[in-house]
Amino acid sequence: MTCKEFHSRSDEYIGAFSVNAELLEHFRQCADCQCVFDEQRGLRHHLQVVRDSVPQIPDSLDARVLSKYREHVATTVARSQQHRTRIALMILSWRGGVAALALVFITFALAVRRSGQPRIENVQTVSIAPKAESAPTHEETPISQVVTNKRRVKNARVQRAKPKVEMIPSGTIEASLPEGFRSLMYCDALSCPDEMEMIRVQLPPGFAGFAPASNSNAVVFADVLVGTDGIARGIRIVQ
Amino acid sequence: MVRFEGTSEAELLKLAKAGDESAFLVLYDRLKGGIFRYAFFMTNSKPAAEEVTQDVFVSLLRDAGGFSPDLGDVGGFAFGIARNLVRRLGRRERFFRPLPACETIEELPASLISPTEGIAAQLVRGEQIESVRTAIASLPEHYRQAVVLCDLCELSYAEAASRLECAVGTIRSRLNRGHMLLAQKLKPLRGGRSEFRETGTEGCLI
Repeated sequence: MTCKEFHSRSDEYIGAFSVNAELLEHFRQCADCQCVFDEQRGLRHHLQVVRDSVPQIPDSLDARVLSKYREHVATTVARSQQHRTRIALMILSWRGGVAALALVFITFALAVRRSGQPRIENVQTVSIAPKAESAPTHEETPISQVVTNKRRVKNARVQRAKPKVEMIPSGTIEASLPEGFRSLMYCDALSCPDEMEMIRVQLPPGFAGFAPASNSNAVVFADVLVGTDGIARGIRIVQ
Repeated sequence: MVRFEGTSEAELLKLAKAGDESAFLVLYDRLKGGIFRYAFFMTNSKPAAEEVTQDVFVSLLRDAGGFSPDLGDVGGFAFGIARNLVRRLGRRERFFRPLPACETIEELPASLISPTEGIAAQLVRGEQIESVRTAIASLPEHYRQAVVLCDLCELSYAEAASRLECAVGTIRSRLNRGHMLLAQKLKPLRGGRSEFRETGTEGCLI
């Protein structure tokens, strides 16, 4: 054995229970290696003694650590409860805020919508009497279309079923409406056979040029004739 | 306690953090020995070791959020805390020199003192232990860490390397160097012991 071999495996030799013959032979020739070996073995023995001399952990330490743990848990639980309460309050306040905001928004939207839409003042039922049963000219054909006579209506329906379609000039439609009304929609015996309702509405300022030129912001009221099908047929500016 | 037999330390820590006291006690039983031993040999003081052990568990509960199972085990995490606390303690108390411990013999565990061992032998053994502890405490920190972990806490080289976050080769070389330094420091002790044995003064003392 050489010194190099000894040093490379010194851990093994020092830790071994007995010294092998080869090592002893080397020690006879090399006092330095023997010195290192003795030192390290002595040190190992000392360390063994010190390792076994570690004092017991006192019970007081266990009790102290346990009390610290309980204190920590109590604090944490209290803190988490506080935290939970705070979060619940926050959520509640947020919800309240959002609800209030939504309420304000809806109110505002309704107000805006109401101001922009025509307001119905009152409703009257107006019966539009058909014109006198004079011999209908070709231009007066629409007059016959608003009559309430069932037989005529039946005839009209039969007529409509026929492939022959009569073209009615638009100027003649207004003749079927009461005086002062402007036609908003085609009106004949088929589309508005029954009585119509007259509704008074408030138009928004400057609505479709109905406002007087002197004051474009003036409030405009109008009577609207509405058929039984809910469609406005004519309009009359009141003021 | 039986219900936690197969439970990992990470799981125990989680349960303990949630308020399960028995889980905490199991975790404490598993870790306290190693931490106390390490702190005791690093500080060479029992009260300091107790303080460190207590603070480690308090910090472990308080800073458990910083623990990640991907980075290592709870033992390593606790050891990291203990190492920092020992360093802090060392910095705080470096200006104070400890008084010679009078109660060295009293501190010895009963298993080390055989009934047939006389007072003189106890004294000699106590003196020897104190000398070795002092010699270890006087080593530079990185050598001391290696000696304490491998020789006194009986960790393997790999475990010590993972605790100190260095290579196994580094641990080996530090340990070797630490042993050399210790052997030099303990030379008088070895010489004294051999003289003592050769002259047989033990008998005279009794």
